[in-house]
Amino acid sequence: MIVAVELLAASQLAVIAALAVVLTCRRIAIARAGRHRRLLLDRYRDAVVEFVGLDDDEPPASLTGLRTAEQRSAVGELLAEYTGTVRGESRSRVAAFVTEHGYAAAAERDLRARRSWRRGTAAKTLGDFGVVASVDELADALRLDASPQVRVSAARAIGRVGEAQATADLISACAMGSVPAGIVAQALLDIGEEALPWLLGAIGSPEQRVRLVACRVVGLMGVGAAEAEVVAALDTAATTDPDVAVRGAACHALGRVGGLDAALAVAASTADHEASVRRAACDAAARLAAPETAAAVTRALDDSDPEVRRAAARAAVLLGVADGSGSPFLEEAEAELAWGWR
Amino acid sequence: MSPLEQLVYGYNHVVLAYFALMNLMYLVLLYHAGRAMLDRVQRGRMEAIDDLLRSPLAPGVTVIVPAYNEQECIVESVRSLLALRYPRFQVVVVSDGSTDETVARLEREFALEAFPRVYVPDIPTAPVRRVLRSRDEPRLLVAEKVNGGKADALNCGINLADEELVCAIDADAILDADALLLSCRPFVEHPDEVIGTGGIVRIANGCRIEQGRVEEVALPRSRVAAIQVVEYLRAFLTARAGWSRVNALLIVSGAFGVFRRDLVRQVGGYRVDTVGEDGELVVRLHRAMRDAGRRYRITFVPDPVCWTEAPESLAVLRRQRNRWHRGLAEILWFHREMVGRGRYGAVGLVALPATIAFELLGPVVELTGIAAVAAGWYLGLLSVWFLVAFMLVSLVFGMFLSVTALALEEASLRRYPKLSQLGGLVLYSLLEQFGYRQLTAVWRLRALTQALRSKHRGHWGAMDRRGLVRGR
Repeated sequence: MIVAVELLAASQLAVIAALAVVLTCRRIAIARAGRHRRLLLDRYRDAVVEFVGLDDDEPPASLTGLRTAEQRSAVGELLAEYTGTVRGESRSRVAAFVTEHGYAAAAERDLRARRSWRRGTAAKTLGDFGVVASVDELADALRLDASPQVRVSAARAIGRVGEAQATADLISACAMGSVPAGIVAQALLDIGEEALPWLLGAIGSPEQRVRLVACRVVGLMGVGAAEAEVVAALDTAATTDPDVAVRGAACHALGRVGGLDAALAVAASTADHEASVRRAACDAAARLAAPETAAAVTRALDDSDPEVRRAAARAAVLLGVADGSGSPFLEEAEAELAWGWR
Repeated sequence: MSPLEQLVYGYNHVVLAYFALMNLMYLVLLYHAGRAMLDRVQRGRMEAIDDLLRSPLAPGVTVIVPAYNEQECIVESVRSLLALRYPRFQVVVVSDGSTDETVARLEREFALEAFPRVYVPDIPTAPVRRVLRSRDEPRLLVAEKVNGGKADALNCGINLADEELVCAIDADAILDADALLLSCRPFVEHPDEVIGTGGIVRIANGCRIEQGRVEEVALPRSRVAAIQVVEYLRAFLTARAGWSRVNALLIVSGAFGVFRRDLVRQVGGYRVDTVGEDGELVVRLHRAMRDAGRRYRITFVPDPVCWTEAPESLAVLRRQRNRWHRGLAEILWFHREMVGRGRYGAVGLVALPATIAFELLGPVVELTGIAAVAAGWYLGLLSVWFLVAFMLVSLVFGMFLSVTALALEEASLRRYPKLSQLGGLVLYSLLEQFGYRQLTAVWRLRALTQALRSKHRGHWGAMDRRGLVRGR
């Protein structure tokens, strides 16, 4: 027994000593490697910034004809870092460069690497490069990769490339739960209005999380009221969806879309049986400031829920229908407006 | 063998079994924590935090700062909170009957004026005397209320909150600029699942602090505080990261935690009759969500850092540990029906029983265990070698846990930049085992006896602070 306990103590001491040695050696090695990498990055940084930032089709000579894998890796990292911050012509030019010089192909190869962190990093790099031809590869990673982190990275990258061709894959990843809803929502927002046809279909999805994402994204996308289909889909969601969160998100979206039909739908939702939806409808009415919501907002000033009354007061003050109600929330809303907060 | 000898001999076996089980549990937690930190390292390579800063999907946050006589630090604290990097947030300071210049200094500094805010006590609180706002800084709201304790002040802040999430933070704590961004990221990614997150709390003693920000990380000069650095790392990077991975995190630190406002209101806010209101809220949220059969997650996020001042004197440390252990006892008593029940999943079947056995009763078994082993030796039941070997393995295992927590820190976060600091932490993990650990066990045992007598509930934990945010 004593021997066993002594052995246990000795083995633990050995592990502690080994850990202390490993920690020290690792710290020294990381510091050394970090210094070396920083020097390498600094050597190419100016050239990359110049190439990405200026409207010059010809890349600086220092970026072409690199011989070692280390140099190419450093330039690839810098290109990904700076390309991710630009849009339009500059981005297309860099995308053409990374395609021509094999950086994109190398990242695509890494999408099939054995280690998940390499696959995930490759997906991020492809998203930063913005190479449209890589979207199919990224969509494959989104659908098939075993690692949740790689799927997340691929979803983000698809959004950053900004092409709508993988929108259906994003929505189905959301439906299956293989990628978190918030990641899909951001990717769809990044894609922008090109994703709208798929999003309209998603508002009627059998999956609650897909409907919720679709309503939120459509609202934040800044689609105008001229898109009658959008208003109709959101109207249906706001008034008939079985899920409270979806109805609330649809109300918020209607508030952002604007227009007469949206205002009428919002007015109808102020009578929802759930307080959170009524509150969302009053918030939307405040954003719309449309006279069609005035009667509904006035009624909501007497709502049983104080949060709804507060939201209604804010809308009422903006609509100018607050007179004579005597609600203390009106005084609060008027002060907010007078102080320039709303 | 006489009955006494039989008792001592039997109890020694109980202590051995207890010790083996406890170590096994810590090893399992360590495994989960290691996996969680590995995930975090890999994730760090794949994403940029600034994406979230620009995202319209980021939910609004109300940062609630309960304050009781915090005149020394409140202005700098609010200023540093208002400078956080986050797309949409407000700061609500709740002065809980402060008798010093806490509110007056805020009024002067931020040109506050009375505001006709309608106070709706969804969660009942002590009366609110007045609400103040600044025309210059619309994100700041200050409420002055009748004293009711920290939990009551937090509840008042929740009642006043406008945003979707609420973040509770101590008035003297310092957040890293990205702390809110990082702790809210799980809410953005899993809006339908995540209901609470907690970040890591680190010790700011010894760090260089300028304008409410930690500019240079260093170890405290005080040995008592330095040992707590190791303790905190072990608690957060091993225990909380491990429990979080199996969705059985029982404590989100009161110094820094983010929750969904609607759910906190639904469950009735913070309990005012306990000194462990932070952990109690978390357990109550687990209970409510599992009773309702809803899918949810309460997550520990290792990146967002909240810096806090640790006690440097043993007297203050004793009071703090006493409060923590009484809080723990109260939480476990309030939710005793959850223990061992399958419907509460990993919380009811594993986390709560383990917390009772190894946290709550830990000091009892540790101190009586030492006595029993010594008695066994005195009665001739155990050899002196066994006594030495047992003590050695117990101390070495404690050190092993601390060093592995340091390894996790080193592999993932690396907040202590100098090699000498790393060496210092290894040394303190050794020193902790001799005297400090036994002393805290005695304090916790005393707290347990006080909790059993149900004394000292719902107070502000007074601590003699040196005032971190004013800089040193």
